[in-house]
Amino acid sequence: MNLLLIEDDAELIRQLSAELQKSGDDVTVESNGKAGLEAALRGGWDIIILDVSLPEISGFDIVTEMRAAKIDAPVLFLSARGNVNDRVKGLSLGGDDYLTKPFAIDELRARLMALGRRRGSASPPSAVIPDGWELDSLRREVTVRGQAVALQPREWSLLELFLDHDGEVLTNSFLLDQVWGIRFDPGTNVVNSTISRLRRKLDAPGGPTHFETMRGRGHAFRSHV
Amino acid sequence: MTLGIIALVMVLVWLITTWAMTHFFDEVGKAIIEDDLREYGVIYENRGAEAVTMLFDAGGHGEQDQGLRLIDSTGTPFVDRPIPIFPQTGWPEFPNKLSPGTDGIDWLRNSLGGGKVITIGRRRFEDGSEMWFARNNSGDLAAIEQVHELLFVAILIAITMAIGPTVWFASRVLRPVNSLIDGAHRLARGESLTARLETSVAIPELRIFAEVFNESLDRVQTLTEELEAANDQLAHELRTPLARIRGNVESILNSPEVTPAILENAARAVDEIVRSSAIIRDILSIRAGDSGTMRLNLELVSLNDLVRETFELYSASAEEKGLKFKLETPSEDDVGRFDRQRLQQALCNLLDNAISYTPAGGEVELLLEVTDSDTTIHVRDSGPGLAGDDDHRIWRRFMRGSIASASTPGIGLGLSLVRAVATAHHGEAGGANRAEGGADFWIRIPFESSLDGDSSR
Repeated sequence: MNLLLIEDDAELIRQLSAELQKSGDDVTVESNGKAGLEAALRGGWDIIILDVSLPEISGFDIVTEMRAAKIDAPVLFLSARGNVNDRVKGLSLGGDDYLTKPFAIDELRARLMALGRRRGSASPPSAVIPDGWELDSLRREVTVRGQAVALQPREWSLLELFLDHDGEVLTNSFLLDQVWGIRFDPGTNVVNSTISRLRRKLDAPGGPTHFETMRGRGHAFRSHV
Repeated sequence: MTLGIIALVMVLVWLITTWAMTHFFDEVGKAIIEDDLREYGVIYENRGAEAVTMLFDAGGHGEQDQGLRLIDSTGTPFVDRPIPIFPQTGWPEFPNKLSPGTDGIDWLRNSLGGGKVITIGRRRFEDGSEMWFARNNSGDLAAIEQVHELLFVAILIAITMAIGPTVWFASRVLRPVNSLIDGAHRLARGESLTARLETSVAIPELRIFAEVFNESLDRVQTLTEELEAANDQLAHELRTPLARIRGNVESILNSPEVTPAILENAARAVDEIVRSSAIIRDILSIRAGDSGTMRLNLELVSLNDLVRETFELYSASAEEKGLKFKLETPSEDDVGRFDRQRLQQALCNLLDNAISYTPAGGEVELLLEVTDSDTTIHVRDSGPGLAGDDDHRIWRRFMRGSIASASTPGIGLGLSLVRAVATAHHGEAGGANRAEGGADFWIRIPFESSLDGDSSR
């Protein structure tokens, strides 16, 4: 994807460009609000990653100007201002997603993928369903090895999210946000225990798991194991 | 109380004065009669009845309510100067006869009612004649009446002088002192740093004290505000370096050629960064709540759903710890405007505490109660409950209950956040021990606030 990163912190620029280029994206960097706005208005971006506190012009002002100029590239805010109101403000001004610093690079990647797919600029969801699985979204049932397994609503949402992000590492906070709708750390093991239930219900007994937990990073679904 | 004592003293003064004066005038009256009987007696014996009559009439005694009578040995009056009242009543009769030559005086008190008394002294001479001298006390009564009037005025003045200072003391000294004490209490409870003591006190020393106290409060407030602003700034500023650190640590996690030991260390580092950023976020939220600037993102929320979803979040944790975990919601749903994220986070903090502090085999209960005026969410546990002054400590930032040990997770922000969220919703939060053991923590939100339309206050 063709990404524009508008961020004034040199170290974050270094890390983000390196990580995003590693996953095959083109990253253009602007480190102040004025140059960032000019670049954004030139257009041609798949996604714009926008810091809120920027020299000269703030991220909130940039997105307002962009939307006024009919630039409709999705905007993902990165901000050190993490309270609910800043998030709501960012989204209501025309932002598409909001990530509070410090964030996990895996989470940024997952959110960029989701935004990209919505625009059709990233490859469509692989939605590769493991061999032998059949999904019935109406009844929230998965037929595995010929046997219908009923899933709880949260288990089903989690599975759908995993299928959309086949092979990607999804952080705990991303899963909590997308599946449970909570944007704080509740300090419970609800994600792990729900994934454990999916393993029990869907993995072949004694076989390799589709749901990999990666210490310090998060969880990844692998359609082929 | 004070007034009662004053009134009692006044009544006593009144009674004693009246009794003393009556007694005194009685004595004086008798002394006058006795003197006159002797003087008139000497004149009668030496100069005869005529001289007595002349002297009596010259003294104008008749108009002074005094009477004189001379009776010969046969009992026939030959001089008669009655008191003005006697034409109606006549001279009273003495009950006994004096024997001749007795030099003593025989007394008769004749009460006419209303305190009016006629006193008569009688004496007998050698020749068997008698001299009566009568005196009416109406002059005494007039004098007593006058004294009473003066006494009444004096009592009024005394009462005013006794009560005046009390009223003045209460209004100008006691009230400011009480307001000083109240203000100091409020400050001690930490409810408000902006409260100041009243300086419109009449007593100069007290006014100076209040002014000096207020000045020191100003300084405390300025300092606190500066400190809190610095805290906020610090919290914000920490996020960027934390983001930088996290990026670098994650590059270790993403690297294919690290050993499992390094991977584990990097993962632990990431855990700590996540914890640190949660602390920063909580501090900023609580600060916003403290300063009344927590802006709620109100949305229509079904509390039944919210409570049930939160229950589900924790059922795995509770099960893992071997706790009985129960949910009780009313059949009627309560839909209102709440800040969903914040309210759920507050609830999560309560549940997290209950599950952490309740030993295995215990019970944790999540309860939604809806009344006509408010909604209360209870989190009850069968844990050790609150000890001693925990009730106050635990709601303060970075303060944990006495049963918290080093191994219990958390740094004491949870309940402060619960209270901040409840207050921002115009509600309240509290906790108490249950009669059957364990603790009961609750968040109560009144209806009108959950339904009002403003999304920021």
